[in-house]
Amino acid sequence: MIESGEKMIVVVMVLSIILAGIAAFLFFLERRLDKAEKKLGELENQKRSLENNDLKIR
Amino acid sequence: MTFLRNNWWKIIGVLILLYVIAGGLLFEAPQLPVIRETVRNIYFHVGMWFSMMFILFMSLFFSLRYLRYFRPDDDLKAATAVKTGLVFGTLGLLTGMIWAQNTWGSYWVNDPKLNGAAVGMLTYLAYMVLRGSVDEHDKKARLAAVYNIFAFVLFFVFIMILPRLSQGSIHPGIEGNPALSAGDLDPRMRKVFFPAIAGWMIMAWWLFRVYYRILRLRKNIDELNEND
Amino acid sequence: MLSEIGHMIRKEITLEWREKSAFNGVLLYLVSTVFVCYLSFARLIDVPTWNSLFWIIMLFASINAVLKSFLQERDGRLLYYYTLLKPQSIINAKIVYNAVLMAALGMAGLLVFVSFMGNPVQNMPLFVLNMLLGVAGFSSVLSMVSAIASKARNNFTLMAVLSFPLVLPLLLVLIKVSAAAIGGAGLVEELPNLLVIVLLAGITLVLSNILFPYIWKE
Repeated sequence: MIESGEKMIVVVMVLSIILAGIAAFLFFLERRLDKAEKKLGELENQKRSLENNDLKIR
Repeated sequence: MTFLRNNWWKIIGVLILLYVIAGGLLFEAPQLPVIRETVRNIYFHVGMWFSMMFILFMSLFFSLRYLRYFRPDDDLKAATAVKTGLVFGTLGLLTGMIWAQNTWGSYWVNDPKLNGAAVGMLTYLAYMVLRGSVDEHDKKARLAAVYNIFAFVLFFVFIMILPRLSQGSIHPGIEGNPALSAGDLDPRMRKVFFPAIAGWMIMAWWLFRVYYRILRLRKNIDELNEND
Repeated sequence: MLSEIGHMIRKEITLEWREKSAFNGVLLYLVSTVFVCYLSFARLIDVPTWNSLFWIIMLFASINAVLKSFLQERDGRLLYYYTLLKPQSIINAKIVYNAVLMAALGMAGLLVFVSFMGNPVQNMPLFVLNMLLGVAGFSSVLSMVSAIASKARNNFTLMAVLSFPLVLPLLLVLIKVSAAAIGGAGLVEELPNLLVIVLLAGITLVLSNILFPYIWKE
């Protein structure tokens, strides 16, 4: 360890917190994306089945 | 759990970077003349540039694949990769400028390596302008892909070859590799430096994946609404 | 393919000779720019400035000239070419023609520049050789970029934005060699740099041949 001591440890802590924050944010975004992509898939399926029904009726 | 199976590499990336931040700033560093403590910058600055090159190379790959199979997905990936690359390039420039101010006494100097970096940024900003100037999707994708390939090759030539051919560069590390030279391979630094590169590249790829998913989702939603 | 290129070049030269629109237009541009420089700089000029000014003016004039050559084709004619020729012939012909055009403009530009701003050049043959190689390099890069820019909106702005970063490395080497020529350096010393110029032109030529087929059909 070097002797610049406490000041550097504070810098390290701040940077680590920032990094952890960014990582957490990215995980959060990915969770939202998972949900949204699933919902979109359902909507698309719904649309497709609706279109198929239309064709069948005709 | 599936979470770990899909995301293990992201966790590793974060852990590596936490280690790099702690080790990079707190471990002992070789005391080279002039540079001294600021040499720690390479754990961050070089990581940014390596990541940028890696992401821009992936962008090239996606552009090439687009011209081969003409899948719109590849075009979206290429564009997203360029945007991510620009982010890391900007960070690279910022970390570089901070280091320069502390080592050389000014934020910028007239040096082939630095000029190469600036040219690279301008090239890819121009790519974004090109995309903005075309409305039809197919045309935009094709023109962008061609420009991307053209630009990457010239960019590569510029940063790899020209600084070696013309006058020397005061930017560290010309003897062989653009980033490393004798002093940096000091074993005390090696144990932080190589993980740093890996960590930053993982973050870059993660950022790219998230950004790509967001843009793809937006595009799919637009298409869904259009068809109604 | 060589004969196709030959025909295309001959056609471009004939067209240009009839109207001389691009040549005269760019020549006028050159004279005007140099005159503005003369009015603003003449008493303050030193050698590095003279050198850089010359190349900046050449660069802008080249961008103008090359873009014009792509924009002036009418749509119907382009379709006609597609049925007859290979795409490589078109881009190669454009590159060669543009190089010749810009060589002529370069010589004219040099003459104008020297008349207004004086001539500090000691090794003129090297300077001229450097300029001719330089415009060939410019032509190679700018022709391909023009092909791209001509398909989009905002042609002229886009052309400048796209081409500056790509042309910068070439420009830097050209400025270096011409500075050396002004100072009286010999051909042998500057050979490595001249080879770099040729290398850059060669790489872009090959790339253009590979990539042009993907964009020519729009």
